[in-house]
Amino acid sequence: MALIEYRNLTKRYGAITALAGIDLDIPAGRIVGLLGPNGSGKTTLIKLTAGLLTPTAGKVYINGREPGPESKAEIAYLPERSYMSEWMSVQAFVDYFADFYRDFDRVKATEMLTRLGIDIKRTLKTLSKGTKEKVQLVLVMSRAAKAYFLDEPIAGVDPAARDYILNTIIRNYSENASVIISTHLIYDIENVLDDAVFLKDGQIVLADSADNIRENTGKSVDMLFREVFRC
Amino acid sequence: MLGKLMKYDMRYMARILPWLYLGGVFLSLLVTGGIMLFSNDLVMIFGMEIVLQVLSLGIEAIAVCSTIFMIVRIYRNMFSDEGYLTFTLPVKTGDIINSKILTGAIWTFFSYIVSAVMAAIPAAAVIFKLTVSFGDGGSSLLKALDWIAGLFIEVLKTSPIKVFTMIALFVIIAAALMFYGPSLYSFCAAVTHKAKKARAFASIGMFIGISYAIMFVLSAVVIAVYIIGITSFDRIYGEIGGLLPTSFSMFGSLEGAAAELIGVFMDLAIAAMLIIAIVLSGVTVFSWLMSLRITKRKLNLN
Repeated sequence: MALIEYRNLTKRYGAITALAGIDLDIPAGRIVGLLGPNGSGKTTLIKLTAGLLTPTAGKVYINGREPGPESKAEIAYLPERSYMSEWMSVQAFVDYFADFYRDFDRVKATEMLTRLGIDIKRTLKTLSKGTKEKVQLVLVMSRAAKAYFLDEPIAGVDPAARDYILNTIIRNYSENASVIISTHLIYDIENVLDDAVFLKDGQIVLADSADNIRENTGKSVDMLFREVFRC
Repeated sequence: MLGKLMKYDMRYMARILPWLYLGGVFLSLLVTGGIMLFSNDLVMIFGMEIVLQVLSLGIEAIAVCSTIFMIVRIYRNMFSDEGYLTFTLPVKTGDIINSKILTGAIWTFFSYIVSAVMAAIPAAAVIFKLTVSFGDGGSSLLKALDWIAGLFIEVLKTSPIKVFTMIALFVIIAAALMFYGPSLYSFCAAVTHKAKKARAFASIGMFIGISYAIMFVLSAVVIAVYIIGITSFDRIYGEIGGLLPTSFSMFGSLEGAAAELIGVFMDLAIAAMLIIAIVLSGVTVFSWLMSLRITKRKLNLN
Protein backbone atom coordinates (compact mmCIF):
# COMPACT_ATOMS: atom_id res chain seq x y z
CA MET A 1 0.00 0.00 0.00
CA ALA A 2 1.27 3.47 -0.91
CA LEU A 3 1.86 5.91 1.90
CA ILE A 4 -0.12 8.64 0.15
CA GLU A 5 -2.88 7.87 -2.33
CA TYR A 6 -4.83 10.32 -4.46
CA ARG A 7 -7.95 9.00 -6.14
CA ASN A 8 -9.70 11.13 -8.77
CA LEU A 9 -8.84 14.15 -6.64
CA THR A 10 -10.55 17.27 -7.93
CA LYS A 11 -10.59 20.80 -6.58
CA ARG A 12 -12.48 23.67 -8.11
CA TYR A 13 -12.60 27.28 -6.97
CA GLY A 14 -15.80 28.48 -8.57
CA ALA A 15 -15.29 28.19 -12.31
CA ILE A 16 -11.55 27.56 -11.97
CA THR A 17 -10.35 23.98 -11.80
CA ALA A 18 -7.21 23.79 -9.69
CA LEU A 19 -6.92 20.01 -9.78
CA ALA A 20 -8.69 17.80 -12.29
CA GLY A 21 -9.03 14.18 -11.23
CA ILE A 22 -5.56 13.43 -9.88
CA ASP A 23 -4.64 9.76 -9.43
CA LEU A 24 -1.27 9.23 -7.82
CA ASP A 25 0.47 6.94 -5.34
CA ILE A 26 3.45 8.07 -3.29
CA PRO A 27 5.32 5.20 -1.67
CA ALA A 28 7.20 5.42 1.62
CA GLY A 29 10.89 6.30 1.70
CA ARG A 30 10.98 8.46 -1.44
CA ILE A 31 11.88 12.07 -2.08
CA VAL A 32 9.34 13.33 -4.56
CA GLY A 33 9.49 16.58 -6.46
CA LEU A 34 6.10 18.09 -7.14
CA LEU A 35 7.06 20.21 -10.09
CA GLY A 36 5.12 22.71 -12.08
CA PRO A 37 4.81 26.40 -12.86
CA ASN A 38 2.83 28.82 -10.71
CA GLY A 39 -0.87 27.97 -10.73
CA SER A 40 -0.34 24.36 -11.75
CA GLY A 41 -1.99 22.98 -8.60
CA LYS A 42 1.04 22.05 -6.46
CA THR A 43 -0.02 24.02 -3.39
CA THR A 44 -3.63 22.91 -3.75
CA LEU A 45 -2.54 19.26 -3.80
CA ILE A 46 -0.43 19.72 -0.67
CA LYS A 47 -3.16 21.66 1.14
CA LEU A 48 -5.69 18.97 0.35
CA THR A 49 -3.29 16.40 1.81
CA ALA A 50 -2.76 18.53 4.92
CA GLY A 51 -6.52 18.87 5.41
CA LEU A 52 -6.59 22.64 4.83
CA LEU A 53 -8.87 22.31 1.82
CA THR A 54 -11.92 20.15 1.19
CA PRO A 55 -11.90 18.28 -2.13
CA THR A 56 -14.64 19.01 -4.62
CA ALA A 57 -14.50 15.33 -5.60
CA GLY A 58 -12.23 12.36 -5.05
CA LYS A 59 -10.25 11.25 -2.03
CA VAL A 60 -6.86 11.56 -0.36
CA TYR A 61 -5.60 8.71 1.80
CA ILE A 62 -2.64 9.03 4.12
CA ASN A 63 -1.55 5.63 5.36
CA GLY A 64 -5.03 4.42 4.39
CA ARG A 65 -6.89 7.16 6.22
CA GLU A 66 -8.57 10.32 5.02
CA PRO A 67 -7.14 13.59 6.41
CA GLY A 68 -7.95 13.88 10.11
CA PRO A 69 -6.23 14.03 13.49
CA GLU A 70 -4.54 10.64 12.94
CA SER A 71 -3.14 11.56 9.53
CA LYS A 72 -2.07 15.00 10.75
CA ALA A 73 -0.05 13.30 13.47
CA GLU A 74 1.91 11.54 10.72
CA ILE A 75 2.41 14.45 8.34
CA ALA A 76 4.84 17.32 8.76
CA TYR A 77 3.72 20.29 6.71
CA LEU A 78 5.77 23.34 5.80
CA PRO A 79 3.65 25.97 4.05
CA GLU A 80 4.97 28.60 1.70
CA ARG A 81 4.17 31.32 4.25
CA SER A 82 4.87 31.92 7.92
CA TYR A 83 2.17 30.32 10.06
CA MET A 84 3.60 31.29 13.42
CA SER A 85 2.06 33.83 15.80
CA GLU A 86 4.23 36.91 15.95
CA TRP A 87 3.72 37.42 19.70
CA MET A 88 5.14 34.04 20.66
CA SER A 89 8.81 33.41 21.31
CA VAL A 90 10.82 30.76 19.49
CA GLN A 91 10.99 28.84 22.78
CA ALA A 92 7.19 28.99 23.06
CA PHE A 93 6.94 27.47 19.58
CA VAL A 94 9.30 24.67 20.53
CA ASP A 95 7.02 23.99 23.52
CA TYR A 96 3.97 24.25 21.26
CA PHE A 97 5.27 21.63 18.84
CA ALA A 98 6.34 19.41 21.75
CA ASP A 99 2.85 19.74 23.23
CA PHE A 100 0.99 18.71 20.10
CA TYR A 101 3.31 16.40 18.17
CA ARG A 102 4.44 13.21 19.84
CA ASP A 103 7.11 12.72 17.18
CA PHE A 104 8.68 16.13 17.84
CA ASP A 105 12.28 16.02 19.05
CA ARG A 106 12.76 19.03 21.31
CA VAL A 107 16.48 18.45 21.82
CA LYS A 108 17.12 18.21 18.09
CA ALA A 109 15.14 21.41 17.44
CA THR A 110 16.95 23.33 20.17
CA GLU A 111 20.35 22.15 18.89
CA MET A 112 19.54 23.17 15.32
CA LEU A 113 18.29 26.58 16.45
CA THR A 114 21.41 27.09 18.56
CA ARG A 115 23.63 26.15 15.63
CA LEU A 116 21.84 28.77 13.57
CA GLY A 117 22.59 31.33 16.27
CA ILE A 118 18.90 32.02 16.92
CA ASP A 119 18.10 33.30 20.38
CA ILE A 120 15.11 31.17 21.35
CA LYS A 121 13.92 33.76 23.85
CA ARG A 122 13.17 36.25 21.09
CA THR A 123 9.64 36.70 19.84
CA LEU A 124 8.85 36.02 16.21
CA LYS A 125 8.07 39.66 15.47
CA THR A 126 11.69 40.59 16.25
CA LEU A 127 13.09 38.09 13.73
CA SER A 128 13.77 38.72 10.06
CA LYS A 129 11.67 36.97 7.40
CA GLY A 130 14.54 34.64 6.54
CA THR A 131 15.12 33.69 10.17
CA LYS A 132 11.41 33.00 10.67
CA GLU A 133 11.50 30.66 7.67
CA LYS A 134 14.48 28.86 9.16
CA VAL A 135 12.75 28.51 12.54
CA GLN A 136 9.70 27.08 10.82
CA LEU A 137 11.83 24.66 8.81
CA VAL A 138 13.72 23.53 11.92
CA LEU A 139 10.46 22.88 13.79
CA VAL A 140 8.98 20.88 10.93
CA MET A 141 12.15 18.86 10.30
CA SER A 142 12.53 18.08 14.01
CA ARG A 143 9.55 15.80 13.74
CA ALA A 144 9.92 12.10 13.01
CA ALA A 145 6.98 12.19 10.61
CA LYS A 146 6.00 9.57 8.04
CA ALA A 147 5.66 12.18 5.31
CA TYR A 148 6.99 15.71 4.96
CA PHE A 149 5.11 18.07 2.67
CA LEU A 150 7.27 21.08 1.92
CA ASP A 151 5.61 23.76 -0.15
CA GLU A 152 8.10 25.93 -2.05
CA PRO A 153 10.76 25.71 0.69
CA ILE A 154 13.47 27.31 -1.43
CA ALA A 155 11.46 29.97 -3.22
CA GLY A 156 12.56 33.55 -2.69
CA VAL A 157 15.73 32.80 -0.71
CA ASP A 158 19.35 33.43 -1.57
CA PRO A 159 21.57 30.54 -2.80
CA ALA A 160 23.31 30.16 0.57
CA ALA A 161 20.01 29.88 2.39
CA ARG A 162 18.80 27.50 -0.31
CA ASP A 163 21.74 25.19 0.42
CA TYR A 164 21.07 25.37 4.13
CA ILE A 165 17.40 24.53 3.63
CA LEU A 166 18.08 21.59 1.33
CA ASN A 167 20.79 20.22 3.60
CA THR A 168 18.49 20.54 6.60
CA ILE A 169 15.79 18.61 4.78
CA ILE A 170 18.10 15.86 3.56
CA ARG A 171 19.88 15.40 6.88
CA ASN A 172 16.86 15.46 9.10
CA TYR A 173 13.96 13.61 7.52
CA SER A 174 13.29 10.36 9.27
CA GLU A 175 14.21 7.06 7.71
CA ASN A 176 11.47 5.43 5.61
CA ALA A 177 9.60 8.71 5.46
CA SER A 178 8.56 10.33 2.22
CA VAL A 179 9.48 13.90 1.43
CA ILE A 180 7.30 15.76 -1.03
CA ILE A 181 8.85 19.03 -2.18
CA SER A 182 6.87 21.38 -4.36
CA THR A 183 8.94 23.81 -6.39
CA HIS A 184 9.59 25.25 -9.80
CA LEU A 185 13.32 25.62 -9.05
CA ILE A 186 14.18 22.16 -10.34
CA TYR A 187 17.89 22.69 -10.87
CA ASP A 188 18.50 23.16 -7.15
CA ILE A 189 16.76 20.01 -6.03
CA GLU A 190 17.23 17.62 -8.94
CA ASN A 191 20.13 15.82 -7.32
CA VAL A 192 18.14 14.84 -4.26
CA LEU A 193 14.95 13.71 -6.04
CA ASP A 194 13.98 10.05 -6.29
CA ASP A 195 10.78 10.78 -8.19
CA ALA A 196 9.33 13.68 -10.12
CA VAL A 197 5.69 14.57 -10.70
CA PHE A 198 4.98 17.23 -13.33
CA LEU A 199 1.77 19.13 -12.78
CA LYS A 200 0.23 21.33 -15.47
CA ASP A 201 -3.16 23.02 -15.28
CA GLY A 202 -4.23 20.76 -12.45
CA GLN A 203 -3.31 17.53 -14.20
CA ILE A 204 -0.37 15.17 -13.95
CA VAL A 205 1.58 15.21 -17.20
CA LEU A 206 4.40 13.02 -15.96
CA ALA A 207 5.07 10.89 -12.87
CA ASP A 208 8.18 8.77 -12.86
CA SER A 209 11.46 8.21 -11.08
CA ALA A 210 14.16 10.77 -11.77
CA ASP A 211 16.45 8.02 -13.04
CA ASN A 212 13.84 6.78 -15.50
CA ILE A 213 13.22 10.29 -16.77
CA ARG A 214 16.92 10.82 -17.41
CA GLU A 215 17.30 7.38 -18.97
CA ASN A 216 14.21 7.52 -21.19
CA THR A 217 14.52 11.10 -22.38
CA GLY A 218 18.26 11.60 -22.25
CA LYS A 219 17.63 14.87 -20.46
CA SER A 220 17.87 16.06 -16.93
CA VAL A 221 14.63 16.61 -15.04
CA ASP A 222 15.34 20.34 -15.15
CA MET A 223 15.80 20.33 -18.92
CA LEU A 224 12.67 18.29 -19.46
CA PHE A 225 10.75 20.63 -17.18
CA ARG A 226 11.86 23.62 -19.24
CA GLU A 227 10.73 21.84 -22.40
CA VAL A 228 7.35 20.76 -21.08
CA PHE A 229 6.53 24.10 -19.52
CA ARG A 230 8.02 26.38 -22.17
CA CYS A 231 5.93 29.53 -22.53
CA MET B 1 -5.99 17.98 23.33
CA LEU B 2 -8.77 20.44 24.16
CA GLY B 3 -6.89 21.37 27.34
CA LYS B 4 -3.69 22.06 25.39
CA LEU B 5 -5.51 24.19 22.85
CA MET B 6 -7.20 26.13 25.63
CA LYS B 7 -3.86 26.67 27.34
CA TYR B 8 -2.58 28.60 24.32
CA ASP B 9 -5.87 30.43 23.72
CA MET B 10 -5.99 31.49 27.37
CA ARG B 11 -2.37 32.57 27.20
CA TYR B 12 -3.10 34.82 24.21
CA MET B 13 -5.99 36.53 25.96
CA ALA B 14 -3.99 36.76 29.20
CA ARG B 15 -1.43 38.99 27.48
CA ILE B 16 -3.66 42.04 27.63
CA LEU B 17 -7.03 41.50 29.30
CA PRO B 18 -5.79 41.25 32.92
CA TRP B 19 -4.11 44.65 32.45
CA LEU B 20 -7.34 46.03 31.07
CA TYR B 21 -9.20 44.67 34.10
CA LEU B 22 -6.65 46.20 36.46
CA GLY B 23 -7.05 49.49 34.62
CA GLY B 24 -10.82 49.28 35.06
CA VAL B 25 -10.54 48.65 38.79
CA PHE B 26 -8.01 51.48 39.08
CA LEU B 27 -10.41 53.83 37.28
CA SER B 28 -13.15 52.74 39.64
CA LEU B 29 -10.92 53.52 42.64
CA LEU B 30 -10.14 56.95 41.18
CA VAL B 31 -13.84 57.73 40.81
CA THR B 32 -14.43 56.47 44.33
CA GLY B 33 -11.67 58.75 45.60
CA GLY B 34 -13.39 61.64 43.87
CA ILE B 35 -16.71 60.75 45.48
CA MET B 36 -15.12 60.68 48.92
CA LEU B 37 -13.70 64.17 48.34
CA PHE B 38 -17.04 65.68 47.26
CA SER B 39 -19.13 67.64 49.72
CA ASN B 40 -22.23 65.82 50.88
CA ASP B 41 -24.62 67.86 48.73
CA LEU B 42 -22.61 67.18 45.64
CA VAL B 43 -22.56 63.50 46.49
CA MET B 44 -26.33 63.52 46.84
CA ILE B 45 -26.74 65.06 43.40
CA PHE B 46 -23.93 63.56 41.38
CA GLY B 47 -22.85 60.48 43.30
CA MET B 48 -25.35 58.03 41.93
CA GLU B 49 -25.00 59.49 38.46
CA ILE B 50 -21.26 58.89 38.57
CA VAL B 51 -21.78 55.34 39.82
CA LEU B 52 -24.16 54.62 36.98
CA GLN B 53 -21.82 56.18 34.44
CA VAL B 54 -18.85 54.19 35.71
CA LEU B 55 -20.95 51.06 35.74
CA SER B 56 -22.19 51.46 32.19
CA LEU B 57 -18.92 52.76 30.72
CA GLY B 58 -16.88 50.17 32.57
CA ILE B 59 -19.06 47.28 31.50
CA GLU B 60 -19.15 48.53 27.93
CA ALA B 61 -15.39 49.07 27.74
CA ILE B 62 -14.58 45.71 29.30
CA ALA B 63 -17.15 43.88 27.18
CA VAL B 64 -16.07 45.58 23.95
CA CYS B 65 -12.35 45.03 24.58
CA SER B 66 -12.88 41.39 25.58
CA THR B 67 -14.94 40.84 22.44
CA ILE B 68 -12.31 42.51 20.24
CA PHE B 69 -9.52 40.33 21.64
CA MET B 70 -11.68 37.24 21.29
CA ILE B 71 -12.46 38.13 17.67
CA VAL B 72 -8.80 38.77 16.86
CA ARG B 73 -7.80 35.45 18.42
CA ILE B 74 -10.48 33.44 16.62
CA TYR B 75 -9.86 35.05 13.23
CA ARG B 76 -6.07 35.04 13.33
CA ASN B 77 -5.64 31.61 14.84
CA MET B 78 -8.09 29.89 12.54
CA PHE B 79 -8.55 31.83 9.33
CA SER B 80 -5.39 33.87 8.74
CA ASP B 81 -1.97 32.34 7.99
CA GLU B 82 -1.85 30.95 11.53
CA GLY B 83 -4.70 28.66 10.50
CA TYR B 84 -2.16 26.70 8.44
CA LEU B 85 -0.65 25.55 11.72
CA THR B 86 -3.87 25.35 13.74
CA PHE B 87 -5.71 23.16 11.26
CA THR B 88 -2.73 20.85 10.71
CA LEU B 89 -2.41 20.06 14.41
CA PRO B 90 -3.34 16.47 15.20
CA VAL B 91 -6.52 17.50 16.98
CA LYS B 92 -10.20 17.25 16.17
CA THR B 93 -11.58 20.28 14.35
CA GLY B 94 -14.33 20.42 16.96
CA ASP B 95 -11.72 20.82 19.70
CA ILE B 96 -10.27 23.86 17.91
CA ILE B 97 -13.68 25.56 17.77
CA ASN B 98 -14.65 24.47 21.29
CA SER B 99 -11.39 25.78 22.70
CA LYS B 100 -12.02 29.22 21.21
CA ILE B 101 -15.62 29.30 22.44
CA LEU B 102 -14.80 28.07 25.95
CA THR B 103 -11.88 30.48 26.26
CA GLY B 104 -14.04 33.37 25.09
CA ALA B 105 -16.75 32.37 27.58
CA ILE B 106 -14.27 32.18 30.46
CA TRP B 107 -12.91 35.66 29.71
CA THR B 108 -16.44 37.01 29.37
CA PHE B 109 -17.15 35.60 32.83
CA PHE B 110 -14.04 37.37 34.15
CA SER B 111 -15.38 40.54 32.53
CA TYR B 112 -18.66 40.14 34.44
CA ILE B 113 -16.79 39.88 37.72
CA VAL B 114 -14.55 42.85 36.98
CA SER B 115 -17.54 44.95 35.88
CA ALA B 116 -19.36 44.05 39.10
CA VAL B 117 -16.32 45.00 41.19
CA MET B 118 -15.95 48.27 39.27
CA ALA B 119 -19.55 49.15 40.02
CA ALA B 120 -19.52 47.91 43.60
CA ILE B 121 -16.55 50.03 44.74
CA PRO B 122 -18.07 53.49 44.03
CA ALA B 123 -21.55 52.25 44.97
CA ALA B 124 -20.27 51.26 48.40
CA ALA B 125 -18.61 54.67 48.72
CA VAL B 126 -21.83 56.47 47.83
CA ILE B 127 -23.85 54.44 50.35
CA PHE B 128 -21.25 55.19 53.00
CA LYS B 129 -21.34 58.92 52.25
CA LEU B 130 -25.13 58.97 52.16
CA THR B 131 -25.25 57.23 55.54
CA VAL B 132 -22.88 59.80 57.01
CA SER B 133 -24.78 62.69 55.38
CA PHE B 134 -27.99 61.89 57.26
CA GLY B 135 -28.17 63.89 60.45
CA ASP B 136 -29.54 60.90 62.36
CA GLY B 137 -26.32 58.92 61.79
CA GLY B 138 -27.86 56.91 59.00
CA SER B 139 -30.74 55.34 60.89
CA SER B 140 -33.34 56.63 58.37
CA LEU B 141 -31.29 55.20 55.50
CA LEU B 142 -31.10 51.87 57.30
CA LYS B 143 -34.87 52.01 57.78
CA ALA B 144 -35.34 52.57 54.07
CA LEU B 145 -33.03 49.66 53.29
CA ASP B 146 -34.96 47.53 55.80
CA TRP B 147 -38.18 48.44 54.02
CA ILE B 148 -36.75 47.42 50.65
CA ALA B 149 -35.49 44.14 52.14
CA GLY B 150 -38.92 43.55 53.70
CA LEU B 151 -40.50 44.15 50.34
CA PHE B 152 -38.31 41.54 48.69
CA ILE B 153 -39.06 39.04 51.44
CA GLU B 154 -42.77 39.71 50.93
CA VAL B 155 -42.40 39.13 47.19
CA LEU B 156 -40.42 35.96 47.86
CA LYS B 157 -43.12 34.70 50.24
CA THR B 158 -46.02 35.48 47.93
CA SER B 159 -44.39 34.42 44.64
CA PRO B 160 -41.47 32.06 45.32
CA ILE B 161 -41.83 30.27 42.00
CA LYS B 162 -41.69 33.55 40.09
CA VAL B 163 -38.58 34.67 41.98
CA PHE B 164 -36.74 31.41 41.36
CA THR B 165 -37.86 31.38 37.73
CA MET B 166 -36.42 34.86 37.30
CA ILE B 167 -33.17 33.84 38.96
CA ALA B 168 -32.95 30.75 36.75
CA LEU B 169 -33.66 32.78 33.62
CA PHE B 170 -31.09 35.37 34.67
CA VAL B 171 -28.46 32.64 35.04
CA ILE B 172 -29.41 31.16 31.65
CA ILE B 173 -29.19 34.56 29.95
CA ALA B 174 -25.84 35.34 31.61
CA ALA B 175 -24.50 31.93 30.55
CA ALA B 176 -25.85 32.34 27.02
CA LEU B 177 -24.22 35.77 26.80
CA MET B 178 -20.88 34.26 27.86
CA PHE B 179 -20.99 31.84 24.92
CA TYR B 180 -22.91 34.05 22.50
CA GLY B 181 -19.98 36.25 21.32
CA PRO B 182 -17.39 33.54 20.63
CA SER B 183 -19.97 31.19 19.10
CA LEU B 184 -21.50 33.80 16.81
CA TYR B 185 -18.12 35.18 15.73
CA SER B 186 -16.79 31.66 15.04
CA PHE B 187 -19.82 31.12 12.83
CA CYS B 188 -19.35 34.47 11.03
CA ALA B 189 -15.63 33.83 10.49
CA ALA B 190 -16.35 30.29 9.24
CA VAL B 191 -18.99 31.55 6.79
CA THR B 192 -16.79 34.34 5.42
CA HIS B 193 -13.45 32.52 5.39
CA LYS B 194 -13.82 31.61 1.72
CA ALA B 195 -14.22 35.23 0.62
CA LYS B 196 -11.45 36.32 -1.75
CA LYS B 197 -10.92 39.72 -0.14
CA ALA B 198 -11.47 41.50 3.19
CA ARG B 199 -12.38 38.32 5.03
CA ALA B 200 -11.74 39.84 8.46
CA PHE B 201 -13.95 42.86 7.72
CA ALA B 202 -16.65 40.63 6.27
CA SER B 203 -16.70 38.45 9.38
CA ILE B 204 -16.77 41.43 11.75
CA GLY B 205 -19.46 43.15 9.68
CA MET B 206 -21.57 40.01 9.73
CA PHE B 207 -21.07 39.65 13.50
CA ILE B 208 -22.08 43.25 14.20
CA GLY B 209 -25.00 43.05 11.76
CA ILE B 210 -26.44 39.87 13.28
CA SER B 211 -25.89 41.19 16.83
CA TYR B 212 -27.72 44.44 16.06
CA ALA B 213 -30.54 42.56 14.33
CA ILE B 214 -30.93 40.32 17.39
CA MET B 215 -30.84 43.32 19.73
CA PHE B 216 -33.44 45.10 17.61
CA VAL B 217 -35.78 42.10 17.52
CA LEU B 218 -35.36 41.43 21.26
CA SER B 219 -35.97 45.08 22.15
CA ALA B 220 -39.11 45.10 20.02
CA VAL B 221 -40.36 41.89 21.61
CA VAL B 222 -39.61 43.06 25.15
CA ILE B 223 -41.34 46.41 24.54
CA ALA B 224 -44.32 44.57 23.06
CA VAL B 225 -44.52 42.31 26.12
CA TYR B 226 -44.49 45.31 28.45
CA ILE B 227 -47.08 47.20 26.43
CA ILE B 228 -49.38 44.17 26.43
CA GLY B 229 -48.78 43.64 30.15
CA ILE B 230 -49.27 47.24 31.19
CA THR B 231 -52.39 47.52 29.06
CA SER B 232 -53.89 44.49 30.83
CA PHE B 233 -52.80 45.85 34.20
CA ASP B 234 -54.31 49.21 33.39
CA ARG B 235 -57.57 47.61 32.32
CA ILE B 236 -57.91 45.70 35.59
CA TYR B 237 -56.95 48.39 38.06
CA GLY B 238 -57.87 51.60 36.26
CA GLU B 239 -55.54 54.48 35.52
CA ILE B 240 -52.00 53.48 36.47
CA GLY B 241 -51.22 56.93 37.80
CA GLY B 242 -53.90 56.60 40.47
CA LEU B 243 -53.28 52.98 41.20
CA LEU B 244 -51.30 52.96 44.41
CA PRO B 245 -53.29 55.48 46.48
CA THR B 246 -56.67 53.96 45.56
CA SER B 247 -55.61 50.38 45.89
CA PHE B 248 -53.87 50.27 49.27
CA SER B 249 -57.08 49.27 51.03
CA MET B 250 -57.43 46.25 48.76
CA PHE B 251 -54.08 44.88 49.91
CA GLY B 252 -54.15 45.93 53.53
CA SER B 253 -50.61 47.41 53.58
CA LEU B 254 -48.12 49.39 51.55
CA GLU B 255 -45.83 46.34 51.29
CA GLY B 256 -48.76 44.21 50.13
CA ALA B 257 -49.71 46.71 47.40
CA ALA B 258 -46.10 47.07 46.29
CA ALA B 259 -45.62 43.29 46.35
CA GLU B 260 -48.73 42.79 44.23
CA LEU B 261 -47.52 45.46 41.81
CA ILE B 262 -44.09 43.87 41.65
CA GLY B 263 -45.73 40.47 41.17
CA VAL B 264 -47.48 41.70 38.02
CA PHE B 265 -44.29 43.22 36.67
CA MET B 266 -42.47 39.98 37.47
CA ASP B 267 -44.84 38.16 35.16
CA LEU B 268 -43.88 40.57 32.42
CA ALA B 269 -40.19 40.27 33.26
CA ILE B 270 -40.39 36.47 33.17
CA ALA B 271 -42.07 36.59 29.77
CA ALA B 272 -39.43 38.99 28.43
CA MET B 273 -36.54 37.06 29.98
CA LEU B 274 -37.87 33.80 28.62
CA ILE B 275 -37.90 35.23 25.10
CA ILE B 276 -34.39 36.66 25.52
CA ALA B 277 -33.09 33.35 26.93
CA ILE B 278 -34.61 31.34 24.08
CA VAL B 279 -33.32 33.68 21.35
CA LEU B 280 -29.79 34.03 22.79
CA SER B 281 -29.45 30.31 23.55
CA GLY B 282 -30.85 29.43 20.13
CA VAL B 283 -28.48 31.76 18.28
CA THR B 284 -25.52 30.55 20.38
CA VAL B 285 -26.21 26.84 19.85
CA PHE B 286 -26.98 27.32 16.13
CA SER B 287 -23.76 29.33 15.63
CA TRP B 288 -21.70 26.76 17.47
CA LEU B 289 -23.11 23.83 15.49
CA MET B 290 -22.77 25.63 12.16
CA SER B 291 -19.18 26.71 12.82
CA LEU B 292 -18.35 23.08 13.66
CA ARG B 293 -20.05 21.86 10.48
CA ILE B 294 -18.37 24.39 8.20
CA THR B 295 -14.85 23.88 9.56
CA LYS B 296 -15.22 20.10 9.58
CA ARG B 297 -16.74 19.66 6.15
CA LYS B 298 -16.09 22.76 4.11
CA LEU B 299 -12.76 24.16 5.27
CA ASN B 300 -10.94 25.98 2.46
CA LEU B 301 -8.03 28.05 3.74
CA ASN B 302 -6.82 30.31 0.97
